[in-house]
This record gives sequence, structure tokens and C-alpha cells, in this order.
Amino acid sequence: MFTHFLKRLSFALGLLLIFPIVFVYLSWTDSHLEHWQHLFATNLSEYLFNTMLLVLGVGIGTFWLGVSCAWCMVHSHCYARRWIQIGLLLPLAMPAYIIAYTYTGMLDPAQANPIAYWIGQIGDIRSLVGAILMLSLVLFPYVYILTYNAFRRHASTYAETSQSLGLTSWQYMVKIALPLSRPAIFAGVALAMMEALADYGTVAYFGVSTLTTGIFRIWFGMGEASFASQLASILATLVLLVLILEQFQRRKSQYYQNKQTQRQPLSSVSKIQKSGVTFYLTSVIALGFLIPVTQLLIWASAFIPQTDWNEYRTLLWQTLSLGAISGAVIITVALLFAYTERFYPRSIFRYVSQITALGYAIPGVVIAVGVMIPLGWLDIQINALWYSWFNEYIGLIFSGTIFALVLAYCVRFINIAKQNIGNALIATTPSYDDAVMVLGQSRWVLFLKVHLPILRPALLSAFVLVFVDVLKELPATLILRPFNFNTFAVKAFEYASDERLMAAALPAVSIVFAGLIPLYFILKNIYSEEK
Amino acid sequence: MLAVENLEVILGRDKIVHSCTFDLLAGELGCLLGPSGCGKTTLLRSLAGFCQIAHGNISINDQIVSSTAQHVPVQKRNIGYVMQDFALFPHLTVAQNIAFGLHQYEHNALRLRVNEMLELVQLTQFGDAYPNDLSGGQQQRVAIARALAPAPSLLLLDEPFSALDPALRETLVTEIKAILKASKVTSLMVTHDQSEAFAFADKVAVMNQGAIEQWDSAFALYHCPKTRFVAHFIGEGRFISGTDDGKNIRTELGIFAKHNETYEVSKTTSIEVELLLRPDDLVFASDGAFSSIIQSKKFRGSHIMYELAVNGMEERLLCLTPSHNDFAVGSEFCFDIDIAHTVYFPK
Amino acid sequence: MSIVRLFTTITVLVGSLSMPLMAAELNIYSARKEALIKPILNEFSQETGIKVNLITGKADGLITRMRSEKMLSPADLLLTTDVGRLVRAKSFGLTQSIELSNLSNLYIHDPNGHWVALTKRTRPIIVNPEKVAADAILTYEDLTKAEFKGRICVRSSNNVYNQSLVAAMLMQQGEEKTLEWAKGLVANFARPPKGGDRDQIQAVAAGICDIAIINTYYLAAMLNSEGDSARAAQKVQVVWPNQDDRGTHINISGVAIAKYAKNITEAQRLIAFMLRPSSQKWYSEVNQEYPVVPGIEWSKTLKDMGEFKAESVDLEQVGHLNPKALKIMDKAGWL
Repeated sequence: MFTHFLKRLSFALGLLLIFPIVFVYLSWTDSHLEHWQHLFATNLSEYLFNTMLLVLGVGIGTFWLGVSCAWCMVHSHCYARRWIQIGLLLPLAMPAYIIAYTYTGMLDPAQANPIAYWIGQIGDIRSLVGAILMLSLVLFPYVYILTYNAFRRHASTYAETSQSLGLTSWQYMVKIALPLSRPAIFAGVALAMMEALADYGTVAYFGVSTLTTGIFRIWFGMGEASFASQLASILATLVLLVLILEQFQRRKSQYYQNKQTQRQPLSSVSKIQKSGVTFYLTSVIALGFLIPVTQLLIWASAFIPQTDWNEYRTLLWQTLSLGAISGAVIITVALLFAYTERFYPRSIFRYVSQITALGYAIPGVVIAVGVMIPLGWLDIQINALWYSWFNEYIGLIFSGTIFALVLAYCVRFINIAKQNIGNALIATTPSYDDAVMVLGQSRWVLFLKVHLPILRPALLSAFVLVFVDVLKELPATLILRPFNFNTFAVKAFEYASDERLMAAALPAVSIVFAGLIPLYFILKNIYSEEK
Repeated sequence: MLAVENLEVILGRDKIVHSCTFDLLAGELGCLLGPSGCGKTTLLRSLAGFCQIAHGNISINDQIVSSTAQHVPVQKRNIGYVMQDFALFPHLTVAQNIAFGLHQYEHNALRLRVNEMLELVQLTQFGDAYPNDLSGGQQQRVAIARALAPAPSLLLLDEPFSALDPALRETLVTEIKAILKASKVTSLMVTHDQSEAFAFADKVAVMNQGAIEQWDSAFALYHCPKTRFVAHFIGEGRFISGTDDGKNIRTELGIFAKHNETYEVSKTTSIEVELLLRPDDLVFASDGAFSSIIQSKKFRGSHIMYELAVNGMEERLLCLTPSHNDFAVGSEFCFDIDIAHTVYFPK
Repeated sequence: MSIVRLFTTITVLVGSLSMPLMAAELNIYSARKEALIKPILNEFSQETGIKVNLITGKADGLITRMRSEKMLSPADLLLTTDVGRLVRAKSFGLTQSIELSNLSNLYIHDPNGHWVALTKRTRPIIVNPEKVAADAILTYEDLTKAEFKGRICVRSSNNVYNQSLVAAMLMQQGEEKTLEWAKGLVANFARPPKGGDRDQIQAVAAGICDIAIINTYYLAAMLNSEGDSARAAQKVQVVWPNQDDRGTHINISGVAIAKYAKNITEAQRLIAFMLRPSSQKWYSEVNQEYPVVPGIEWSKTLKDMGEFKAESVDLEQVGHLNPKALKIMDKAGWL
């Protein structure tokens, strides 16, 4: 009974979440032949080419940074290991568009700064390569976290076996560690690639024409929302391909589950090597976090005298509560989905659930429209009904409220939560379920007393990732928020798009620090294997 | 206590278990023994109520818990179950794990019961430890304590020793048996290891391809196997050909009296049969009636197992003899035959 | 039926917990950034006691929102920073005629009174006076001269000000000439378009290019700031193009009353408030935009940039031509 209710609820929620995505595809019912001809003749090839290059570049960039850092942390020595471990996660709190604004401001040609001049000679940061660098610097922690844990899982048994078989570390990495960790690495790279596909802020600021900027251009410039949706559906299809690849990898990965997580005794290395590794890791952290944050702080401090602290407090409260509410809703829904999939592995719900993952790569603005229009329709229907009974309108219920905003975040970020929770749920073997039942306990007890405590780290990290992403999210927030409702991201954007980088610094740095608070809490869990 | 009648279990399209009938008396320790894939775990899981049955019925304490019409849910069967991987909850302490099934106990009673259980499995000082801090054998005892804590009327154990170090198994089997006997719980274990089964159980069911071939004491399974599969699977031995003339089995190694009939014999014609010779049926004697050449030998501590070739016979024989009778391979070996139970099957 | 009724009632009750407040207030959808409008709204509230609720966002996001909300839309006013969006809102039927007693020909407004301009913004040319002779550029058309190859910076054509510039030219010069001009301009680009107008000013100051097209209020804001950006702004000079013929391109920021506005009186009061001399002066002083009301004194910075002759075109038509302008820029390869 209960589980049937669960299944129906999941189905209803799943359909609600995929509707905005389906809505994007529904745009094909309108014909825009003339526009397509124009686009084919002009910019389409450039959009596609740049998008491919960007995604590929970010894939390679995050792979390199994520895997190399994970390797250094697991299989080599460095100084201040504890600090570096924390530092490698910090770039997650940094929105790509803000790091882009910051570096642009720092490397401004007008500044008489020798470093800026020197870098300016190599090339302009505001380019495709620059966008790839910026995105890679803030997205690599996704790859790093997953790879780090995968490397550690294999470290004890396989690394020692390989050493005993006379393999060098390089051979071990290429022949054993990378192939074994491939599913984890790929999952991280896929996340980063999807973020890159959905990115608008960075590429728009750097003047790189991609599918997302094309979508905005068509929507805003031509006022053709449905044509823009058609373009967005191409983007969603690209994501679908990435996801299918990732699923394919994951299916293979189940054979590689290995419970041993003993700590591998690190072999000793020379001081020079240790310093080199420390230097490398520190520079990654510096580039992805320390340097831009310092710059932002310097700019922000110049604006502190002009800041209205009452307004700032409201802003802080609104931003944090929005993040917390969304995080709680999203992990609840993700948990519901994960259980429905576990109890009904053969149900077609699986496919519904998989489609919801697409939301992650659809630009926020497209999701916002996909959420807004159906909810507006729903509101109109309810009002019509209400009018027929009470002869008055009650106004908007869903659109223009927090509900719409949270729904949009749910569509966009459910995938992050699902990935985290799904992976953790696999670890709760079915024999736990049997053991609980045989001890005369209900499924509720199974969930509350056994699964929930075991899943807690995963839930917490899912919550934090969603929380941080909601803090960073801009386009959907901008379009869907209620009256008098602001977030740091909206504020930072308003100043930055008005080309007032210095004024944007305070809200921008606030996003970063607000994201750091919860990040601190998951640090323990991510590195929990090391006691 | 436990009665299983003509049980049949179908999973998907495959008939995993069929024609199983057996029963256990209160306090008895039973064992399902068979090669892997014979359906013994499925049978155990259907007793627990994890899977529905297709035919027959299962009753515990004279109450039908599973039949085609009825299925008492797992939670209401009052059984204990020890998983192959123990399934100890890693985030709970040993004491909390044991207390998990004691949801109807009050605080003090709960504490008492948990302590009682810890004492039973001799882990009193480990109540606050986490499962991951314990050795395999200790984890297993916790799993058993957890299963026994709610005082189940029946305890089911799924390959409880397979996850453990083989060197430990023998002592553990005896320890667990003592614990179960002490708590007087009716138990049924699944295993593929016959020495475990013999050490543990009062009664053993030998299973093959989903069916129970024989449900008997260990002694009977060894000495009076009812099917050729049981004769092969349990213990060692070799078959030699002979003929059944109605009263005796005639072979090249002599004439042996029949004890019981395992098949219908017509009175007029004699039947070609195979007679089972266990290694202990052959007794070394320097002036023995039969002479043979030693083909190979295996030293087993107190005994030596010889493989022998008797002149003029195709079949090789086995003989287990005290190890002071030490001979080289290729030398002559004389023996007598002393069969207590004549076991034979038609060819 | 009763189940449907029950469900709806529950939904309404649950939903109403998160409903926006709708007292006798004024609800504004604004494409103008909060920082650039909040002070004047606060002043309005203080003076009239009318509470103002604000959502800022991109104009097309707000328009889409109004379309989906239909007659339930809480919006009373739509503020935009460009005429194209006002025209778009009107063509979607989201606006209504503004009845202001003094909505005379003094102001720039829609022929049917569906929108009215609040400020004017111009988009002239700036040059580095050390590198470009004073009379080398007299018109926008001069920018296509071969001598300026590799010397011009301009932001992306994604930007509405560029779209509006091209749309206005399209209206006055026709498609063929406009496309030719756009191609000639692209051929003279010093670099692919990137950054905003301030970046173009910085680029001219830093010598990356010698000529740029920008909105004046960015330059004015930089001149009034301190440090690097003020120094950069001082290095450039404004050239008012086409003074002998059609005039320099202008755009407007404006306001429309939403079709389903519930607080029309309050909305009209705000429009009147924003058009009164003190508010107009505020726009000029603080935002460095040109007042729409004649006779209002400009800020010193604006005065220093000089008087100019502005285009006099039908802004409504310019708005309509926006999509076509975008396609022309596509064809010219203006990213």
C-alpha cells in the first residue's frame, strides 16, 4: 500500500519535473523554417563548433586537473596535506561567471600591471580558450572528488599487488588505476561537461558564440521564444548523449565495486618531489580560488563604506533560506526517486527518472520558461474554476512565487542529488533490507534507522552541492523570483552587467563565502574514510 | 516444529525448488546440504518468507505460514535469519545491532536481554564496539546474537561460515552449535560443506537440482545413502559391479548379504548392480584374502588413504588404514573386506 | 466534481501561503537594474505613501512572465531600457493606453499612448584624439573607410543597443546600404566583439583600437569615477556623427502600463512623478542619461560632452525592425 503510494507520488513528481524539459521539445510544433535557413546560412556552424570545442576543452581541462590532483593526493606526498585537501574543493563555491569577471578585471589592459601585460601578450583571456580555462578551474573539483575516492578504493590492494609485480607508478596509473576508476572519472567529467554546456555567463561575457548565447540572442534579439526553444532542444539532445555514455560506463562499473578502503602506506619521496607536488597543488587552488577571491575582497573592501547593511542582511537571509529550502526539497525528491527505482527496478519510472537528469544541462533560462508557462496556465485554470464558484479571482498561486523558483531549481539540479544518493544507496546491500524485515521491523524502520544513517553523508553532500548551485544560479532566479526578492547572484549580475565590476564584488564574494559554510560540513564526509 | 510439505518455488520461469518434504522437531539442528546452485538458499529464503511459494505448504509450530493461498509476511513469522555477509549495520554498535529486533522491549528489559545475548556469544566486553572493529568470527557471533535476541521460534542460517577463514571454521561450528543448543532454538543451516553439516546438524537434507534427495542423520547419509547422488556426494568410496540374486550381492570380491531393498527385484532373474565400497570397508591385513598393488597414497595424519588396483578388476578401490601401515607406491597391499551396510544401486 | 472542488480549494489554501502581497500598492516589472531605479522609487514612496514592489530582470524574461500570467499578472508597470521591448510588449497586447493629462507632444511616446519615454540615451562614436584626426569621422558611414581597418572596437551584436543602432539605420537607409555598412564595419574590427561598452572605452584608452561606438552614460560614469577608469575615460573624445544629416542615434528608456494593471491611478502617479523636472534632473545627474522633458538642465559631464543633433525617427518602427537588424548583423558576421 505504502510503496504503491510512493510509486504514484514519484511518477507524478517525475512527470512534473520532466514537463519543462518536454516543453522545450514541444516547441517543434511551431514551424520556423525561414529562421532555420537564416541560421544555417549564418551562425549555426559557429555555435555548434564553439560549443563542441568548449565542452571538449572543459572535459580535457577538468580531467587533467581533477585526475592529477587526485593522483597527487592519493599516491604522493605534499606539505600541509590537510589544508590542500580542503583547498581543492573550494573552487566549487566560485561561480564561473564571477571568476571570469574577476580575471578580466585583473588582466585589464588599462592597468599598468606587468603580470597583466605579460599575460596579455600570450593571448586575450576573453576568448574560447579563456572560457575553457575559467570553467575548468571551477568545475574540476567534481572530477577530483569522485576520482580521489576511486583511487583510494583501489589504492591498498591493487597498488600493492602492482608494486609486488614490479610495475612502476606510471604503469600502475595507466594500466590499473585509470581503467579501474574510469567510471568515476567519467561521471565527474560528464557533470563538468554538462555545466559547460549550460553555461551562459562566462561565454557571453567573453564574447564566445555558443548554443546558449545563440538561444539568448534569438529569444531577446528576435523575440522568438519558440525558435529559441528549438535551439535549446538541440542542446538538451547533446546532453542526452553525454548522459547515455555516462550510464553505459556506470553499468560496467558495478563489477568494480570493492569494499576495501584501507589506507595505503605511502612510499617515501624526496623533498624536492614533495615540494614540487605541493607547489603544483597550491597553484591550482590559487588560480581557482585564492587569487580571484583576494581580488574580489580588495574590490569589495573599497565599496564597504557605501554598503547598506540592512539591505545586505535581507539579501543574505533571502539567499540562504532559498538555498536551504531548495536543497531540502530537492534531496527529498531525489530520495523518493531513488527508493522508487530500488523497489520497482523494472518499472518505466526508471526512464522518467533518467530524463529528469537532462535538466542539469539545460540553461536556467530555458527551464525558467518551461516552468513559467505551464504554471501560468495552471494558475489561469484554477482561477477560472474559482471564479465560477465564488465570482472572484484569487490571483497567481504557483507562478511568481517561491514555488515556481523551487520547481525550476528542482528541474535543474535534481541530477546532482540523484547521483550522490543513488551511488550511496547501492552501498546499502539488499541483505540489510532482509535483515530488518526478519527482525520484525517495517520498511519505515528500515529507512529511518538503517538507510538514513548510512545515507547521511551522501544526503549531506547532495544538499551542499545543491545549496551551492542554487546560490550560484542566476538566469532562472532572475526570471522567476517574486516581488522584492533578491539573491547575491542577482545583485552581482546586476552590477556586473552594468559593467560595475567593483560594486559587484561584495555580492560576488558573499556567494563564495556563503557556499563555503556548508562546504565545510561535507569536508569531513568526503574525506571520511581517513580517520 | 517446522514442517515442509511438497514445496515448490518458481522464480521467474525457473523451477528452483520442487518436491521438498521434511520436518524438524523443536530444538533440533537441521542442515540443507548440496552443491552450489541446487536451490538450498532459495528454499531457506522461502521458509523465511522472502519469496512466495508455488506449491505445497510450510508450517511453523503447526501454523501454516506459506501455502499457495496464504503468505504470512516475514515480520510476523517470528524467525531469526543470519545472512551470508552477516548484514551487520555498520553505523550501529554491537549492542545496538543486537537490540535492533527488540522493539517491543522496555528500556530495562532491553538492556538485560542484550547483555544476556552478549554473554551467550561471549562478547560482553564488545557491546560498544562497532562491527568493523571485530574479527570475522566475532561479527558472526554478533549476527547470531542479533538473530536470537527476539527469541525466534526458528533460526535460519545462510552459509554462515563461508565468509570466514577456513582454519577457524571447525572450532566456530562447534561453538555456534553449543550456543544454539544452549538457547534451545530450532535451527536450519544452509551449506555446501559436508564436514560443516556433519559437525553441526542432527539431521541433514541432501539437495540436488532443487529437490531433497534424502533427509536423514549424518550416519545414515553416509552408511545408508538412498540415491546414487547421495552416495557420491557424501563421503568417499568406489563402486564395483556385481549381480543381485535376490538375497545377496555377488561380486568378484565376494558375496554380501542384502539388508534392505532400494528397488523392486523380480524373483526369477538376477539384476546387474553396483556395490559401494567405502574406504573403511577395506581392512588392512598382512594375510588378507585379497591382494592388490598400491597406485597412489595420501597421507592424512592418523590415517593413510591408499588407492588400490586388484588383479583382474577394472575398478580402483580406496582403503583408509592407520598410518603406521606405511607402504610405498607400487608395492603389494593385502586386505579383508568388512561391510556393515551393503549399499548398491542397479546399473 | 466535489473532489475537484476540494482539490482546488486545498491547492489554493496551500498556494496562498506563498502568494505575493497585493494590497493597494504598485507592482513594477523593471528591466532597469535595481540600483539605478530604487532611489527614485523610494522617494516616490515617501512622498505618496504608496508601497512599491519591484522585480528586476531581463526585459524579455519579464515580458514572457507577463504573457504567461495573462489577466492574473500582478504587474502594473513595465520599465525597459530600450524602445524595442516596449514595442514588443505592446504587440503582444500586454499594455494599455496611458491617460496622462499632460501627455502632450512634449514627450516621446507611442502614437496610441501605450508607452512613454523616461530618458534618452545616445550612441555616438568615441576616438583616441591622438590617433584620429578631428574631421576624419563625421558619420557612422565613415567607420567603413579602409583607413580604419583594424582600428575599431564595438561590443557584440547580442547587445540591444547595437541592434537598435542597426535597426534605426535600416529604417533610414534601407536594407542594402545597412548590410553593406555592417560588413564594412566588421571588416574594420580590431578584435572580435567582447565585453561591454566600458571595455571598449578601456580598449581605446589602452591603444588596442582607436575608435569605438558606445552609450554616453558609460563614459560619463567612468569620467565621474576615480582611478584607472577615470584616467582611461579622459583619454578619449566623443564624436557626434551625422550632425549634417540625420543625427546621432538615440534610444530611450521607457515605461508602459500593463494591460491587466490593478493599480492604474498609482501607476499614472508614478509616471507623472518620473517625468517631473526634479526626477528628470536626477536621471541626468545620477545616471547620466538625457532628460526627455525639454528645458531640464543636463549634468555637467553631459554638457561637457557637447550638444548634438539627434535622430528623429519613429521609435515604434525601430522597435519592429529589431529582428531584421539582428539578421543583417548575422549576415555581416558581426558576432
